[in-house]
Amino acid sequence: MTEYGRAIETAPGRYSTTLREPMGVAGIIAPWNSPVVLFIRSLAPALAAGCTVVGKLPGWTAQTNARMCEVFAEVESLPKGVLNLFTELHGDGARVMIDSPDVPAISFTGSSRTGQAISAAGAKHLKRFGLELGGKTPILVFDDADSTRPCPSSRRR
Amino acid sequence: MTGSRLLVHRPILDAVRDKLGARLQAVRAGPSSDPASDIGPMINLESVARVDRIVETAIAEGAKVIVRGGPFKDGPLAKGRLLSPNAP
Repeated sequence: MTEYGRAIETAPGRYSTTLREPMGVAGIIAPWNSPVVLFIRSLAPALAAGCTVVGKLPGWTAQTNARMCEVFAEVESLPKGVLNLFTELHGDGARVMIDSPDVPAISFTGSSRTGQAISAAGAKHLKRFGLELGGKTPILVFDDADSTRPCPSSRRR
Repeated sequence: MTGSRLLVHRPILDAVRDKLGARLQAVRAGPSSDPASDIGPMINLESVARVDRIVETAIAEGAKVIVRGGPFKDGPLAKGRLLSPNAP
């Protein structure tokens, strides 16, 4: 597959073409418990697809946000205006993004309750959503576990 | 991974609980800037109170305490948003 899409022959002499096009402005809402990784996880595919981005960074991680913005500002290959970030404690700015017909895609990582509210509000414009909600990351320890060694993903470092 | 829930196969429950308890006793909560800290602060005071309340509720409902932590009451660390996993 190329960046121009692909064509398949659906019947003799008939071709269907898939075109991959940027959606436009992607709205990304990052959570405070992992603002860098969980923001970039949505940012990278949006930029790779050719979208511009408006990102809401959590107000509880203001210093992390500021550092992240400094790093983004150093990226010379990123044209001005492609990446736009703001930070806030509550949801006023995010609500503008979700209610705007100019932001066709929303990526949200956070609570199930907020995710429900976001998808309900965005339904008006038939938005596309990437929602990662809830979850309690249980760790299972079976009786054949080697208890002299912590498992790599649950130990502290 | 937060490790907020650990489900252990019953035959090894006692061993895992004892080892985990011993390790928790040695964990030092402190400023993120201090290399001697094992865990840094919670995100805000509400989170400190919320998590401590969850532990309190569990105890009230019959949970057996192995290691009881809590917020720092005195000293410079009491000004932070730290929740120690062992007696602060």
